[in-house]
Amino acid sequence: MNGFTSYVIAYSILGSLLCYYIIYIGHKLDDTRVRIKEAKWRLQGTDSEE
Amino acid sequence: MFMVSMKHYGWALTCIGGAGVLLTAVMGYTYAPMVQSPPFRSPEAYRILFWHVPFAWTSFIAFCLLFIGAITWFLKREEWGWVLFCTGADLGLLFGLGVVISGPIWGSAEWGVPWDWGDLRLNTFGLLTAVTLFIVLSRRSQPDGIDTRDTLSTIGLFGFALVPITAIATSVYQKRHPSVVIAQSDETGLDPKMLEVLMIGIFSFWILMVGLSILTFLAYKLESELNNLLQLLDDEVVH
Repeated sequence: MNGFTSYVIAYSILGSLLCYYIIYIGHKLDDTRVRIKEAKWRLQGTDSEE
Repeated sequence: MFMVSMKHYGWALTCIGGAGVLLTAVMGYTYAPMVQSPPFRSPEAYRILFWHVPFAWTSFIAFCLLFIGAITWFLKREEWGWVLFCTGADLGLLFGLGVVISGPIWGSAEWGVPWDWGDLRLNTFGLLTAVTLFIVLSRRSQPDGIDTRDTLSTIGLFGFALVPITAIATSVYQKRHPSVVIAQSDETGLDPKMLEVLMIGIFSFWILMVGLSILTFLAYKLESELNNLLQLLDDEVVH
């Protein structure tokens, strides 16, 4: 592998790794927030039924 | 309200850090001068260090978070200690993988082999990253509970013991891997322009690390809140 190729490959893989984690954590935050809202609605629903 | 503002701070720092990281990559190719060949076999490949070194330094901060989290969990059984442990493990894996991937790519170009099994620093760092991988995978596959947390925290503490060994090996047990590039001496040191780019890279990665730590911490905190709510729901259904 020559120097320039290794430079491009390394930066591409590492950049993809960082982007993947940023997107993953963004999705996880949003998804958990929605599921918390749903759980709270369900809890309020069961409370009002009682 | 506090969590919402923390989320905004987290995203802001992640964006600023990310922009700096991108700038480092561009400056590493356009601003930093080329090294001479010989002594370098693949002079162009040296530019990998502008991300490789900050990735390595940042991974040590993540391992410190993991250590503080594990100790807090053991001593006080605090939920935030466990959340910090999970945050440190995730980010330790992210930045550790960056080092373990970029290092062998540079090694292939410069040494002709991707890994030197005789170099203590490479092996202890590889093991450290493997420990974080094990923690992350185990946490996902095992049911959450005090026993699981105790076991994984113990493994985390064992893993952290490798940090000083790796740090000492960096300067004392010097074999094939280049020495500390920031230190200026007769044998080591960088061109001022290279040092500028590297310092921009290190500070950018640290800002990114703070942003990602906040976001990851919040994500695990919310997950813990969700688990408590689901437990409440289960209890209400049963009763």
